[in-house]
Amino acid sequence: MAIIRILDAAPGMVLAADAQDMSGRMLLGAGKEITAKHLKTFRTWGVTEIDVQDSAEGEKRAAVDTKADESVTKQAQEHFCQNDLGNPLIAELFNNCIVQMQKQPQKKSSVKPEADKKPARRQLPQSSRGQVSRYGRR
Amino acid sequence: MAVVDLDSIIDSESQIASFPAIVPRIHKAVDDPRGSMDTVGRIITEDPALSARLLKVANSSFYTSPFPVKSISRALTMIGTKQLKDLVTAIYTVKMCSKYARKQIDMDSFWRHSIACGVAARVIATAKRIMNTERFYLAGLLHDVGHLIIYTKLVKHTEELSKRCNLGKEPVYKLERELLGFDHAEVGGRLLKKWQLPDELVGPVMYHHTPSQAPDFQMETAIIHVAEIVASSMLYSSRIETKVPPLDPAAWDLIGTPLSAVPTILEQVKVQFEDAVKMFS
Repeated sequence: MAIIRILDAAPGMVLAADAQDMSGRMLLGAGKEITAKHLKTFRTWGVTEIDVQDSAEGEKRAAVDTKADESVTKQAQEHFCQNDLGNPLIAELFNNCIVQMQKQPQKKSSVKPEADKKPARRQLPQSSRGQVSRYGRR
Repeated sequence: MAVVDLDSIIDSESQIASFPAIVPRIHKAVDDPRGSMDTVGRIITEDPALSARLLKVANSSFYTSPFPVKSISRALTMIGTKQLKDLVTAIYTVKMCSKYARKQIDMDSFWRHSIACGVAARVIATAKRIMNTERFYLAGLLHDVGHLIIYTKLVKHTEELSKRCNLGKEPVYKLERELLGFDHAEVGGRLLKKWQLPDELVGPVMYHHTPSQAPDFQMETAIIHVAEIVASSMLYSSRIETKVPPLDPAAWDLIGTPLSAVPTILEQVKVQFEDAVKMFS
């Protein structure tokens, strides 16, 4: 039994307790094996952490985390230069920033995001857009 | 030491720009114990632009309606009266602010930053299960309104200011205090107060860089403070404050959201941001 972050969860893990969304709505019962589709659903519904039966699986991740190339790291450090990277929240935001910078190398926040090209909203799969690559790793 | 007289600037500003009369009328209609949704709806339909905006809001992913919302009355029931007041205020305040558009300010990046901060504030508040989160959106949307005043009213100083800001080592609000004697947070707060917006908006805007000094609405202020940092960290920064402003760790502790919720918060911000941007285009 271990409570792990949803980002650390992988298909094949088994739930030790019910998975609930932010408002307590039950999504998947204890004892069920998690599939990639479940993970997507969890993310869509804003699940932040889940309780799984075997913790060994969860630790596999960590190592893969940020092998950002140096220029991006430097750019991110520059962006955060007024902050203490030792702070846990800042560290979290910093890592996310690196991931984001890698995805859009030269874009520096001037043009509007492809707002006009987007198809209709309210489609659930859309909320996991941009994160697909994270799962693609597996 | 104030190099510039802030009072006179705010005064001259609020004389030119008076708040549209429809806002207090809607507030009154909502607060009237004998009033009905019909009355409120009728006032809203007087302004087609406002009606269109509200429909857009009700159809946004934030309210997750399973079917398209087509009528104002349906939109009103989804949004709710209390949120409606905040939304209407937001829509008109933003309208008022757009008259400050000047070439010194990159309005595109300014609004992107403001919207992202508003969305982030709303998401953080939702994660904390606070009710009526539109006011957080509104506070976030307006948190940097002081920049607009500084860049339109104090043109003489802005060149020097931008030069120093571009060095990037010092937070912008500190540089403003050094050069002008006050910062954009104070200017923004004072302006909103002059416009007679509620204190729960004025306070968070006024102290969004110094949340520990806020005399009241500490939670609201802390959320706006963190929301701005979250927004900047996601590369939604304005051209004026290009770096991530320094975090006050006490503010994050006060909010008390677990760190494990941060990735979800970031993801929600990304989704809702794109929706919110559409409402302005």
